[in-house]
Amino acid sequence: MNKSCLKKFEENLAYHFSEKLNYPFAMPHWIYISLSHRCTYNCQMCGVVKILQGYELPFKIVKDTFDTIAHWRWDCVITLTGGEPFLREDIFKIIEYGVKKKLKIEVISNGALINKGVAEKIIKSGLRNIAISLDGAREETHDHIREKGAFKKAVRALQYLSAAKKQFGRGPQISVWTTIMKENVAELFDIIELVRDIGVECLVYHPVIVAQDDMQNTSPDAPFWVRGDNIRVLKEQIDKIVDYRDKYGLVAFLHDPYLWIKYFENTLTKDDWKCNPFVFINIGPDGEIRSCGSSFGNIKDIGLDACLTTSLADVARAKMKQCTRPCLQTCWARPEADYLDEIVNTFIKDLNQELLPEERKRIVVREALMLLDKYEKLIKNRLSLS
Amino acid sequence: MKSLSKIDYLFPKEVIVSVTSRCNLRCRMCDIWKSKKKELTTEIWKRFIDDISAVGVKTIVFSGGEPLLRQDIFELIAYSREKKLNVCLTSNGTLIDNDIADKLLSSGIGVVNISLEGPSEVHNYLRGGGSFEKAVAALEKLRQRGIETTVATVVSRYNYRYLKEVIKFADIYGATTVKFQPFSNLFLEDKTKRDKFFLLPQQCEYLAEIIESVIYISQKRGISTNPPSYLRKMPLYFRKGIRFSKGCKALFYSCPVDSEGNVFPCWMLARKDMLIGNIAQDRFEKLWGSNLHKEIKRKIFSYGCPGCMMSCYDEIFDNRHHNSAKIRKLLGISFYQRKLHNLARMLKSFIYFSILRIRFYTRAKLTFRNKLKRVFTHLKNRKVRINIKIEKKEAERLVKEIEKAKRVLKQYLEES
Repeated sequence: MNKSCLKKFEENLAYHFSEKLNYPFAMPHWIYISLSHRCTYNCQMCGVVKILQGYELPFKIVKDTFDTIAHWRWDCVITLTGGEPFLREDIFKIIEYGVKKKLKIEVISNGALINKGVAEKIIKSGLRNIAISLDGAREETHDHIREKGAFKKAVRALQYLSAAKKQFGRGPQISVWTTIMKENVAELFDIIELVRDIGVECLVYHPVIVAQDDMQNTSPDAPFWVRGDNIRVLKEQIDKIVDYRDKYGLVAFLHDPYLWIKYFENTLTKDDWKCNPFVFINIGPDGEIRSCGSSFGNIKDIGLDACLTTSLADVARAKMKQCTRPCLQTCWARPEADYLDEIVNTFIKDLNQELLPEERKRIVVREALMLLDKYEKLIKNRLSLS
Repeated sequence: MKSLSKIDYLFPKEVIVSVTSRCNLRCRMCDIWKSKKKELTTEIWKRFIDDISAVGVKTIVFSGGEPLLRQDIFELIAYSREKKLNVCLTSNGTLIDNDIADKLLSSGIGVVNISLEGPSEVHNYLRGGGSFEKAVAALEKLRQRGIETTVATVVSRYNYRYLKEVIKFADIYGATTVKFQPFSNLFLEDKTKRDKFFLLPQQCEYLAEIIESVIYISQKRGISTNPPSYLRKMPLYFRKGIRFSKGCKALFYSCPVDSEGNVFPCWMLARKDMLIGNIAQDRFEKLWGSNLHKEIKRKIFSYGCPGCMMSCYDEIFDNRHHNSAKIRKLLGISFYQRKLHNLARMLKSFIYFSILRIRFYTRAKLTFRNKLKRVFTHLKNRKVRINIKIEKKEAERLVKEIEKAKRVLKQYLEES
């Protein structure tokens, strides 16, 4: 177990009460930073290239943001994305600074610019995870969605990365991200076979979202939407993938994969999947923090810390809470922090598994009680004031 | 809390009365005119003036909206003077022509406070076209009649660069005092507008420089402003906000009354749950010092107040004003004795608290370094005030849930 059970309990409590009391006790776990919206491709399912053209997040702002995040001492994962992050000339400078600050940095790329030299640089950089997007097991599918030659470039990038990792004996986790859509629904399982041979360590699937800006606007009439017969195909594929995962691992599920079917059938409700507005933030290339189309504030103006407590942020979070159609993206939820009973049960379960002397365990439980006391006192104070 | 109980019965020095919520201007930073509150009759105000003069209030400030929109304002001023109260009038100056200036003079007004936001472009942008010229003309007319004038400025993102100019204007038009007050969203209906007026962190640094020169210029030109310590706190206020963990002296020194006659502990707490009473229904001496008022004050002192930088209470930033002779006399101790007393009390609570914490953590078997770390983080966190918004029902449900979770953990402790 990497994280001690008390730390995990503390974080889960913070996320739980942040959501209940509408106050950021918890810092965001996933921080996406779009360095710029420039991209090598103009993919069909992604409209990012067309919005906020010409904006680049300056290195100084990124640096300040990293400083702030390092100061939190919170378990955060920073994902550098774009557009294509490797189009930025200072990308390695940014990664280097983040690693220096002991932050967990990930990069999502399409692999178009990763040649042998870049791959070696990436492996040496101290990244935690490098994710390459791969949308099909066959060349035609991937190239149809993205651009001609994209498949070869992506596969080559993966090969370079795994070769470099073998050479140096260490490096980031190499993972592949696949967007589930109508075009590739029949090939989902085949992707496993393709990437397994290359040396990929993790494969993540996530369903397509239609509107980039406003995620609540997932229209079933949209192109790429899996519907009709394809849903049956998707179900078969999920069965195969789950089966494979149980035997060999490799695939990482961020939620129950059978929710994808509900998602595409438009029957997914709040009860199945709940967003916690305090788990994720997305910083755009203009410095604006946006989530589900609403803005928190601009980090260029007031800094990251202040952005999290603006009145705008309250409004945005309230809007996210009212969302009736969850988008099943990789970011929003913290299902383990939804219910207090579950948090406590998980804590006790984890504690029993830990190899600690009985006396130490009692101390840990007492500290957990103190944490609960803190929140209880806060709420009771509030009650007595009103 | 001993000192608090001793000065509990003191009546305020100053009463700030908003006689009307009507206004002839539509300023960008104020939505008071939208509230359309009822107004009290002249008789009730007169009775109130009787009351406050009887209990020893020294000053009455007529404010609004625009108080000059009330027909009977001169009558009220004259009546207050009759009762030997110092009278101050806060106005935007747009209605003061020769006729009204004469009337003010004959009513016996003490001080007229005119709002001035900066040079004409800035002032007219914030308060409406032509208002700057009228305000300046008003200052001139009042000076000609020998009425003391002061200038009030709300510092916001739009005018923070021009504070020096305000001092110069005040000097040219013969105002004796310039009161700066940082922007507060108190008078805004849409509180999210606040971000428009608040200074950005970069601007705060610039503001700090400007304030130093404002202090210098005001001393050079012989114009009194807010205490320097108050002005120097302004950048901090814009950056982080200011909070008083133990309430503030304004609760004892002044008393705000709105146009409907409602009495509140202070303007920042002018809301329903902090309502002390209404002067139309009760006499002032009954309201001030009533059990309800005491309870509200205790609540504020134990939970802290939201914190503000209203310039009317700027005295609390200056210790010389803070320990006025009257209080010292009342408490029966000298200035230095009181200082020592406070210091000793602080030290005592600090040591007691630290020992309590250390003793608590020694029971938990931690390393000494961790113990110290915990104590300090706890002391540090103690200052952070968390404002949460939650409904009563939801809060009660949460408390129940927490209690249930605690029971589970305690059960685990007993079993092991």
